[in-house]
Amino acid sequence: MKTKLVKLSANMLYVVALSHEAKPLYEKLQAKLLVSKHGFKLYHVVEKGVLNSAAVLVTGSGSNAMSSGLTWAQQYLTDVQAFLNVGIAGHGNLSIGSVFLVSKVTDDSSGKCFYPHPVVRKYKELQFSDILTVSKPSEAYQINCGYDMEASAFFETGRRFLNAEAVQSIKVVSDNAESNFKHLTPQLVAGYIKKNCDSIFLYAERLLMSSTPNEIDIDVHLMSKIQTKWKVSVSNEVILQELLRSSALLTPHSDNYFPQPEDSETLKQYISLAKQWVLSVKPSLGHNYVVGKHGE
Amino acid sequence: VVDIVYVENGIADHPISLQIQQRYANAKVVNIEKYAEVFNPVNQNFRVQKRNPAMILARKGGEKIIAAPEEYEIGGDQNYYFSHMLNCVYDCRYCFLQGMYRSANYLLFVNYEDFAGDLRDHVLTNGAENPWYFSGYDCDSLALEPMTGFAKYFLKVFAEPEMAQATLELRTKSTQIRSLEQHAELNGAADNVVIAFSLNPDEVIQAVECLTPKLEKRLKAIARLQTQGWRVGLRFDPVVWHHDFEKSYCSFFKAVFDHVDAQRLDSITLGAVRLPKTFYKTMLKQMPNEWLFKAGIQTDSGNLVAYEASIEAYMLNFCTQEIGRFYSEKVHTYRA
Repeated sequence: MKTKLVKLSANMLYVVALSHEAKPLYEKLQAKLLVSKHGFKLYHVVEKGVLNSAAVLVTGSGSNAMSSGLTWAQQYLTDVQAFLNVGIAGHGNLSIGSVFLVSKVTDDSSGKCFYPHPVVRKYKELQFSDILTVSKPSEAYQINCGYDMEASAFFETGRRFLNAEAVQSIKVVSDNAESNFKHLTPQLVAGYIKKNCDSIFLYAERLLMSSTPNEIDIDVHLMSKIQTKWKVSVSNEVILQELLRSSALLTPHSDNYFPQPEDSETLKQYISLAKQWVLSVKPSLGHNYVVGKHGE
Repeated sequence: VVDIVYVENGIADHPISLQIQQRYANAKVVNIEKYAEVFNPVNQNFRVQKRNPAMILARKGGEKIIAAPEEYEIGGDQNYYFSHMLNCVYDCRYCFLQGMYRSANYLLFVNYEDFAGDLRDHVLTNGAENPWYFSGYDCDSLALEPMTGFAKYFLKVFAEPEMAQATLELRTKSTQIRSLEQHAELNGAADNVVIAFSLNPDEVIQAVECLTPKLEKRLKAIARLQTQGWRVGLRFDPVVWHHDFEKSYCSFFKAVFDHVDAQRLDSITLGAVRLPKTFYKTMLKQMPNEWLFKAGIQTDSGNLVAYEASIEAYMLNFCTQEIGRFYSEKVHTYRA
């Protein structure tokens, strides 16, 4: 018998190509290996409750691995609010060890472009650069251009699962015209990422803060009371949820005024009463409220 | 301030494009082929982008002058609008642009000369005695004036002899009126230009018109323009339903007409919050916690989402009466 997979909550999914890029991240996060399969690895951590949970995905090098790895990881995770691609990159003019946020990705083979929105307002340590995703390591270091092997696939795949704004890429320069990629060793790569972990996590935190707000909580006890008294169809449940949400927004400091199930004989009467009640609320701009007819 | 300026390759060297790139010297310039690559993709979140919008500089092709809705009461014998920019630096919670566009980036069409050419042709060929051209429906006409020089450019266009029969209306909440003042200092106020200010009480401005100038600043700007001889319109649209509605709008109208010369006003329009249903649904999805979309709002009648009919009637009647204490001309009222 197949057991149902329990998904783990991870607000931030760090997506990296190479194990030595991932190591400083999962070590700093104190994330534990959750699963290792098909050449992909997924590390997971719950820091302080659901809102600070994170995962680190290692996909392997190249566009195909990135695309399939990111898709594969979705079966294990829930509540993901952002994907952040972290990795090393070559660059035409930035110095080795510097960090940049990707502002444009061009796929060298297809010519396809992606433009990640600058969700997080620029701060001192943050700089932008365009990047070219190539299929083989390149020694052609052009001015104002970064080079990697996964970013275009990351954006193309990531945007299938999340809003475009929640898919971002941050890179650490590992090689340039003065010191090309041939000098790179696993230790050096890990070192470049490790040195910049604080910048990466600071950006990740700000990215999460910029994600869409959750819907306001409705009064679940009242909803349950209603469902105990009447058989509520799916469409009526949607209407009731919307009314309860309106109540929570318009009268945030009270739970006493919304009509109670005992005020009505039938569900139809109750919904009508609740609609009238919501319409009668005159919210204060300071979020206090008065229930009554307009003009009073 | 913007962090990224996307520049279409075709207009990278356009003077207005260069001028704006210079003004945003600290921003990263990203070259693009067509603005649609950045502005149009699906799966964008307007509200998330609104926290830090980027600027897109592009060329507007195709039709630039569009007929205004027929129910439009103010204006000339024929009414049109044109948009040199899509999206706004302000963040008014009721703004329909949030439901209309996928992106909150400011899309500025820098080829003013093409707009001007089309306007000249339009005035010559459309046969109207007094065609009226509105600006400020897809953006605020003046808010970015120091960057874009839009008003400065089009004041000159409408000052040309062949444009004398046409009227330009600039709709705004902004107090960036330096271009207008300079124009008046050199040439006098233009006879065929109306500056239409959207106004609301300060408490409403604070609650739902984020980032816009305070009422007092707007009123001072209006008074300065009136003193210079500019034609000014007032737009009490949308009025917003809330607990202190009567008290709030009563003292608001008094403050407005204490500052503004009612006798010299060009027009007044009035309307309450209303939105096409499709826009409302998109906006609600992106702002599920926005009280404005719940208070007194009726969602299940017709294609417009607006205040419940009796609430809207009450609000508009109340405002009409209050305005009537200071202004004897017709108040053009838009109902859902």
